[in-house]
Amino acid sequence: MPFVIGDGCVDVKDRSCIGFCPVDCIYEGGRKLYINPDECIDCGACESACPMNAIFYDATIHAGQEAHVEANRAFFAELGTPGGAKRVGPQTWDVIPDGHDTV
Amino acid sequence: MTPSEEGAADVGRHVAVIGAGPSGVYAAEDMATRLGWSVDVIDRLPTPYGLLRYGVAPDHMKMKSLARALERVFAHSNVRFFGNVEVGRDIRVEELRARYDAVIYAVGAPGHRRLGVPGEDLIGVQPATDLVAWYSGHPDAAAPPDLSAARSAVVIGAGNVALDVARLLAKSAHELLPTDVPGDVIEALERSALTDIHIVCRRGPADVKFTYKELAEMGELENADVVVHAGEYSLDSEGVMGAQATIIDLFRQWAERESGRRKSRTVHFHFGLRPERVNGTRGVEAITFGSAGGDQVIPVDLVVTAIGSFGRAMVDVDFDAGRGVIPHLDGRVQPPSPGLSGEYVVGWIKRGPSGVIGTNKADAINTVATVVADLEAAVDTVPHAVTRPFGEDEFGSAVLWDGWLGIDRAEIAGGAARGAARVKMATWDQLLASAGATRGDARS
Repeated sequence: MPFVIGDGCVDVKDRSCIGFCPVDCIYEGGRKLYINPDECIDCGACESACPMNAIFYDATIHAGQEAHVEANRAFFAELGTPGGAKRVGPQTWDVIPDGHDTV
Repeated sequence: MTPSEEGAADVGRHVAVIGAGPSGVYAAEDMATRLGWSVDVIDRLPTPYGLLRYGVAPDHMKMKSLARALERVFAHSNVRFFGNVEVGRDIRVEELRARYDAVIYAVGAPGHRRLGVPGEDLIGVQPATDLVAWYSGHPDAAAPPDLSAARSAVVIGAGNVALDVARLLAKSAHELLPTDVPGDVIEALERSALTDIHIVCRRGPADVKFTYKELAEMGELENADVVVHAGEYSLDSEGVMGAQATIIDLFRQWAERESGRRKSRTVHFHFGLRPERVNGTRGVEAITFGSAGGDQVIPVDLVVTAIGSFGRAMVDVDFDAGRGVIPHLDGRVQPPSPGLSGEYVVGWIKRGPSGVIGTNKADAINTVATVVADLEAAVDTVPHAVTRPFGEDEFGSAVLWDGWLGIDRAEIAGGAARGAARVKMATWDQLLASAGATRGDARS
């Protein structure tokens, strides 16, 4: 049951959360950040670090944000579990659920 | 020139970090990988990882897996581990100041806050830190009172440590087999006759410091039901903001589903109860709580206080005894020692006991930024002292990284028999024998 990044991050990418993640499992896409669900250790440091309040524990995700749980997982379809975002750097693609494109 | 001095000259700065817990290792990581400095991480235990190993609950295996990320820091050629070396016993801080470009204290908060009520020194009243140390296999831990005759336990506190302790007491021994809990601890918990475990919070359900994830685990136990005693408090989350609303909702769901106890143990949540005194002659027998509805007495065989950790003073280092931290400015110890290398703090000895593990990463990086600024400024004003880092053979009793790997292998092998990833070795003798070291307090 990992943490998940939702709408608030789209086209913001503040990145404060990255400095708090003890396992470097927050990866950068073109327009938002994504938490690797297989690498997240559920510590919750990112949740309170996000100035946009965009990060949720998946079991208590806010109404309307649920689609991000699957989208965060789908983002890693090709990457798998590289063992740290620093190792792969920013990606160019995104998985943003339909209707969550804020622009 | 010894090999270690040669290495130090190659990479420039050499820093000592006192404490191999997450905050110390994050500081070491930033200095070694980003700045290319050499770092010696010194710990009084023969094992690295501090509270990740001895504080994070043993059944939180996913969190424990963070050790794999911290291990990568020690794999770096610029980072050395000196375990079983105690500052103040084996080496004085004065010598560290003279020998390194900077000294970073990452010693955590090993003490605890006291209740401050009569009877709290009776047998059977324990700080959570003692119980956590025991089930975590800390080599300095003492076994708690015999649980085979204990029916009722009270855990005082409204944070995740209270939940950890209550959950470990409530779990069946069977549920703990896949964890790293030492075998004798599992046996003691198997003999436990506890039927009721009370978590007592001073304030209401909207004020608790539990996090949702940890609280929700309490509803998933094989062996224990949850009962909520809301007292005068409402369990309606209407108008409550954010995460606290989901917590109140959880308490309400538990309160609504109470329909007779089905399991062998019950975890009770109480709110609005203020501990007033612990009653008993030699051992604890009951606790009296004050509440809005008058005094309440809970009969009890074991009392665990989980009301906060507290820093401990280091010999020859300034200490704020009121807050339990080393005074600092942006991570630089205050007041600075004139003419000597700078001293710095990270983690709980800097901030006090708050935040989750990841909080220490950002915090450590902030302190390292101060170290960098100070060393750069000092280059212009005072000649840079020649650092003389420790030789690896300087302490006859030190456990170096290879020694820890010996402990690691032995613990992993010890877990195989019961299907656990590892089982902790809980005595100094076992740890040091597996590390190929001996206990000693003299420099060689």
